[in-house]
Order: sequence, then structure tokens, then C-alpha cells
Amino acid sequence: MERSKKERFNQLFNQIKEIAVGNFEFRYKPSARLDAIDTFGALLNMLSEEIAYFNFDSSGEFMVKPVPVVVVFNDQSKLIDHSACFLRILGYSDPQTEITRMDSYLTDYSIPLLTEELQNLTKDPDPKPFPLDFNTSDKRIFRSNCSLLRLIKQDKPVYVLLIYEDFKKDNLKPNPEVTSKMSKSVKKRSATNRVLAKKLRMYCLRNLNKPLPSLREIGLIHETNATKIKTVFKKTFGVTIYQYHLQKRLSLAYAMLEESDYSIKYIANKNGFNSASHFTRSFKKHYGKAPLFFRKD
Amino acid sequence: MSDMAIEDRYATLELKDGILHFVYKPIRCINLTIAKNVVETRLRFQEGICYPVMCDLRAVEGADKDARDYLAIKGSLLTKAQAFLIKSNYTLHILSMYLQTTAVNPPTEIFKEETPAIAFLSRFRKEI
Repeated sequence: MERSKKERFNQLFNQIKEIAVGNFEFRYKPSARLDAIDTFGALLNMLSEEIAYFNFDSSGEFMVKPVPVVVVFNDQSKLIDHSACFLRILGYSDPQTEITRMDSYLTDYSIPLLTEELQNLTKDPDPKPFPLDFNTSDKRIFRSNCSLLRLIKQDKPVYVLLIYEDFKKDNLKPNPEVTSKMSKSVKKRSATNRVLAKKLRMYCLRNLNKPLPSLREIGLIHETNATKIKTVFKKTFGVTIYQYHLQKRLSLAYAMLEESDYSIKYIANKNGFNSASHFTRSFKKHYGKAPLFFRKD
Repeated sequence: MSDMAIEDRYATLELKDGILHFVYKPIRCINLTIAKNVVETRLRFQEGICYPVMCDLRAVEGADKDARDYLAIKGSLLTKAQAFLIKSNYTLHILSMYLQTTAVNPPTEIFKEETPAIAFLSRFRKEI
């Protein structure tokens, strides 16, 4: 049955409130009319996607978003159930060594964080994402954004922890006792830095046909300084801004090699390389073989 | 290149007077799989030659974020310029937001009528 105007507006209002509290998964469903209300809803959906991507998936690669890992525990911190990959990636695959308490998997400074989130859940049932550090069996740390839910049909409190980030080696951090930076390891990225990282990424993608200017010049364009650009970009994307720019240019050049008969010189020029030889050197370094090797017959 | 045309699961492609007409079939939401498929089809059709492209989106209702990001970069390969053809203000606003939030490189305009779209693309056809 078609929704009334009032129902559709209520859905829009609810979605705005969801975004405001950090839930970016809520989506407005357009009606068949595709009128102004539907347009507003569609733009809200896109806004949610952009914010969610920017907060949880800044790699910029064309990846399918990972399914969250699920961990279920009770109010005594006893582990009730979990996704298969949870123990495997933390290195606790041997059933005899399996630890049964939730807080045993967490670092010392993450336990009070989880406790605080459990207390907040009682007052405010809408889950907000927060970072947690997990101990691995080989004494490293796995860092991830998580959110907390409470199951409502249970007699006693049962909680579900959703762990969002990919279980990749890149998320593993060195032991804080070795680095002795324990107090600084759990740090939320500021909104300003996230906005800057996104602007820098878009700047790179819009200028793939030429070399990037100096960090100082990029800083002038974005009203910041070279040091800030270096640290924010590397922290967000894991590579320097120049490495990212080069990777994207080489990726485009690779696609042009496969799909066209353009000369190496032309492809090099189109993708911002000073010369064909410079392009060939960079290409070979990145892909292991010369550009012509990848040309389709 | 003389006029030619093909059709596949998601779109019809036709080369007319040096302009590639890419017409999407009815699609509720373009996902990454569809996006990769249509880009591959288009690139194979163009046989390495760059063309101005008329992209007819009148039968498309939307695209998810992964597809939008993919099309912004890989979808612009071998494209001199792009003209998006739409039918409603709904699509106009979505497309405007898409162009503002992604890094689309070739000259790109949105049109509701085919004639001004052809006129826009013709400027780039002359440069070939």
C-alpha cells in the first residue's frame, strides 16, 4: 500500500535523526512517484553512504564492505557465541586454549571502554560506533570500530558486539608494551582531519593527468600545511599522497593499455608522467613487468 | 568509424556520427557488478578509440556508492566528454550530487533533451 505524505515525511525525519546519532545504515525507500519527497530521501541516502564510507571505509578502493563480525556475551562477560572468524584471526583457534570471557580478549584500556558503552546502552538503546582493541594470541593488537546491541527477548541481559573493520593483517598493531604508547593508541580521528583527508583524496583523483605540486602548494589550496597533509593522509589511507596519486595513475594507465592501442608515450602523457621512460620505470616497479606485456593482442 | 550498434543485458550501444550513444535498459539500481559489466562492454565496443558519449539514464532509478565510485573513474576511460540524458528532477538532483561527490574528469553535462546534448557533444567530436 502506498505510504501517505505524513508517513513519508516521518521516515525522512527518522533518517535524519539516525544520521545525527551515527547510524548510517538506515535508508529511505523512494515511492513510485519520484517527487520532491523522494528526491530528498534519495539525497539523504547518498549522504548516509558518503558519511559511512568516509568514517569506516576510507581506503578508497572498490571493495565490497565487509560483513561485521559478531560476538555475543552476557552481563557476566561470558562469551556465548561468535562468528567463526573471530577466534581464528585473533589466533585462538585451538579449542583447548579458547578463552571464555569477553574481557579477556580486550586490552586493559579497552575493558573500561566496553563497560562504559554497556552502561550507556541501558540509558540509550541506539548503538553508536566506538573503537576497541583486541588482544591476539601472539600478543599483538587488533583495532576495530564496533557497536553494541542488547537482545530484548532474553530473560537475562545478552549483548551483541558488532566488529566492523576487515580482519586484515593491516589492522594488527605492535604490542603497546614494546612501543610504550599505550595511552595514545585509542584515539578517535577528528572530524576536521576526516574532511581534509577526503578533500585531498578528491584532489588527487581530479588531477590524475598531471603530477601533483609540492605539499606546500597543496596546503595553500586546502588552507593547511605540509605536515598536516602528510600525517592526515598517511594515517587515513596508509600511503603518502604521492604514493596514492601514483597508484591511481598507474591503475588508469593499466586500463588504457588493456583497452586501447594508444602508444606508451601517449598513455604516459595522459596520466601525468614526464616521459615514456619515466612511466615505464614506475609501471614496471609497481606491476613487475613492462607496460607492453599487458597489452591485449 | 562507420555507424554500428550492439545490445547486451544492461544497455544498447550505437555509434552515430562520431558520438557513442549508450542507452541503459530499465535498471532499478546499478551495482558494482553491473557497473563493471557496462564499462567492459563499452570499452570493447570502442576498440581503443576515444569518443564523446551520450549516456541515456532515463530508464535507471539509481546506483549504489560502489558503482558510482567505479563509474566516476573507470567509466570515464576513452571518453572525450559525457552528456547524461535524464527525464526527471529526481534524477537531476541525484546526478548533481554524484558529480559533486566524485572525481569525474571529462567535461560532463546533464540534459533533459537529446538535441542540446548532441550539440554539446558535437564540439568534442570535431576535435577527434
